[in-house]
Amino acid sequence: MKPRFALLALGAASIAGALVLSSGGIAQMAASTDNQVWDAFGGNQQAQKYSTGTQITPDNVKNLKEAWSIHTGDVAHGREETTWGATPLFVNNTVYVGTPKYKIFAVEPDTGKTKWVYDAGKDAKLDNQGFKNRGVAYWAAPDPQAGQPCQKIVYIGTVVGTLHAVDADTGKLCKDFGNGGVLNVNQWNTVNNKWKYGLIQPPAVYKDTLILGWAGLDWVYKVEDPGTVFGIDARTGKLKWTFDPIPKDMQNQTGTSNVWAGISVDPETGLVYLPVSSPSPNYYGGDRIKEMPYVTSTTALNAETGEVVWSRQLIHHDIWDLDINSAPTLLDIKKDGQTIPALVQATKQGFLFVLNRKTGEPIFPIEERPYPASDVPGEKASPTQPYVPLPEPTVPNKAPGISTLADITSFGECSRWKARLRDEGRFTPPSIRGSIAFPATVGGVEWGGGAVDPTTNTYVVNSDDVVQVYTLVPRAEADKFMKGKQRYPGGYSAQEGSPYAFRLQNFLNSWGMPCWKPPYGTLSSYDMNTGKLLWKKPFGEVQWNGFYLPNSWGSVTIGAPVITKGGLVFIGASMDSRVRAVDLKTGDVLWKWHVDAPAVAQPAVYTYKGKQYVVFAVGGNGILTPRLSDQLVAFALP
Amino acid sequence: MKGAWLIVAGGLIGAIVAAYYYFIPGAGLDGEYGTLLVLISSLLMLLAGLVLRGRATGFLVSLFVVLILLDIIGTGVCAYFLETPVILAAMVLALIGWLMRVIGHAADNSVEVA
Repeated sequence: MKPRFALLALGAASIAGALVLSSGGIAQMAASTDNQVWDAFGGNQQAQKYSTGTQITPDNVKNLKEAWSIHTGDVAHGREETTWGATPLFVNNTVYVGTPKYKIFAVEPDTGKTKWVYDAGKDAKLDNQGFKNRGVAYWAAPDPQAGQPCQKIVYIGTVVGTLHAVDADTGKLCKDFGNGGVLNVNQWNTVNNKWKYGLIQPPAVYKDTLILGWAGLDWVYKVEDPGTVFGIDARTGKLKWTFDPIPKDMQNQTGTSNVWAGISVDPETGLVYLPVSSPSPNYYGGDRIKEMPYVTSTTALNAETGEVVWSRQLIHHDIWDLDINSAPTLLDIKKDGQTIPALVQATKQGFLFVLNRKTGEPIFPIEERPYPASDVPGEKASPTQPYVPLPEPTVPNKAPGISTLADITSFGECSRWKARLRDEGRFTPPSIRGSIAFPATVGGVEWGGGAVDPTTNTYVVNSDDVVQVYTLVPRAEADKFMKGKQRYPGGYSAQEGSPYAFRLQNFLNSWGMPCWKPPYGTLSSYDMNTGKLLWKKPFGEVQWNGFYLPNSWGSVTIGAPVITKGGLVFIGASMDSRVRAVDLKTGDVLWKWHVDAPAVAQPAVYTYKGKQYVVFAVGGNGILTPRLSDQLVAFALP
Repeated sequence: MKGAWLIVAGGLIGAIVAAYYYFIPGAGLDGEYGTLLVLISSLLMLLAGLVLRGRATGFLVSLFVVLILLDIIGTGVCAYFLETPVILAAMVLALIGWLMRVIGHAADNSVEVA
């Protein structure tokens, strides 16, 4: 723990300081004395990732320094590799963060000093998901009983399907919840239960209801656990309702279509918005041709009952593992003199679906465009797919061309490989000879989604430009070398029970260089009132053996941006272990700072005792680089 | 002579800074092969600079002069891509030393010839 700055003095001195630091006079002074919370994964339940803090501005962000940094101790390489994509919460005058081995750390917001630690990981062993966590959820009783515990609760899930509820003040288990404070969500995992529910993403909260999805194990089986979503009583853990995206009569043919990413909530209407993932087996759909309207969709439910209010399928008959993978961002769009309740659903395809959040109807048109047929025996690709021309997709329709540098240094390996592959742009079906997949299963937009300034409807999102190769391997051929294994070196997955195993390869040459032209990742800004792209720039830097490659190449990113009222975008996400502040108006990087590993999560921004903090969980992700960490680091102005 | 000492100084600074980056987390360069490469190349530069302190001549010395130049250029390029301006500055220092060594040596030879 390295607290570097003392608390701001209270009283007259702090008010004077706030006046100096802020540019807005009396109004800013009033704002600076109130704590500004970040009480949900997405900043708020609407997943806006927006802070009203104005202390840090484009003019002074260059002075931003590390305020405190702690190490949780939860980091591991190898078989028990940790993946930490948590967004800390700031609420109840405390910063709460979950760790990849399922501890909750409660720390003081201005010093990083630990208040308490709860360990939910004692019963969590290595399971299908490895050790992953994306944070905790917070609930407060609307009618708190004085002197009673658990009027404010922090929840953390584990990879073995348990949800722990602890008192937000003390870190003690809430005995009325589940069985002595621990709810075995896995008790409801009764159909095709190939694994335990991985409760990696914290639940969404609406009044006294927790809305909970789960993560599974992709690409291994044809028939997997159906993607049930649970509505749970926040006080007791009692099951209120369930939602099944997969029709009952198809549950012997397919599975998943689970909700593994964030869920957003409209607190005014009581609607919850689910990003529903794709069904199993992910790359061959010949045994699940039947229409399943809720899979690979954005679906709105009544939070109290779980009833479907509307659902919009965003990919038909998904055979590319293009899960809908981020919580929709809620905003009110001003269009044609009207205010329209809306949401933006970013996707792995780089599409930004802008829908009326009460009806699911598109606000900007969605076209049904024809796409190529599958040449795989038994498969029947959908003849059309939804296409969003406006806002402009974050990735182009065709894969970038071959990188000259990668091709020359590999003596033409990239060109020769590409010539053997099927490549017909978006939605080229997987094939036995191999197909170019762009955007591929990594996106496009990853699970963090975008951020919005709800006062201007400026929307910012990071996106990847990654080319992969999808190959289906006939079962008999796969059985010869996989010999019943779920995974096999070289990128093979069994898709057990289907006629084809699957091979995923990154389109790299033998030196490990991307065969496609950069950029590899971008950051874009849109005016969501008009759908117009405001700016788009390569973002981050690729770091290779320590060497930074050119800025113009950008970086693959995992994580998401946040926006502040002060006019800044804060984002980690890139491969180069740096966190950055970007000018919201121009996209220019104004500040960057080295942290211990890639900060593969969106940061949290809060104001405490008149001082604005930006805090990152720095966990790294083995998909990006081997550099992992357990650092929680906060930044503030001196 | 002075030129050789500048090469030694450049190598020493490069090695110290590279060692710091290699072993201390926080700059994104700890444990990276690129940082290790710069550490080794800076140490080699330091040693080669020590060899060049004297007035010795001959094929081996000439070979060292050429190799040191390659070392300086290579380490400088690496420092650029590692985004380590101090090491880059150290390589500029070493390059100045190398030029002094080469020009000074040539001048000495021309004086001897005259």
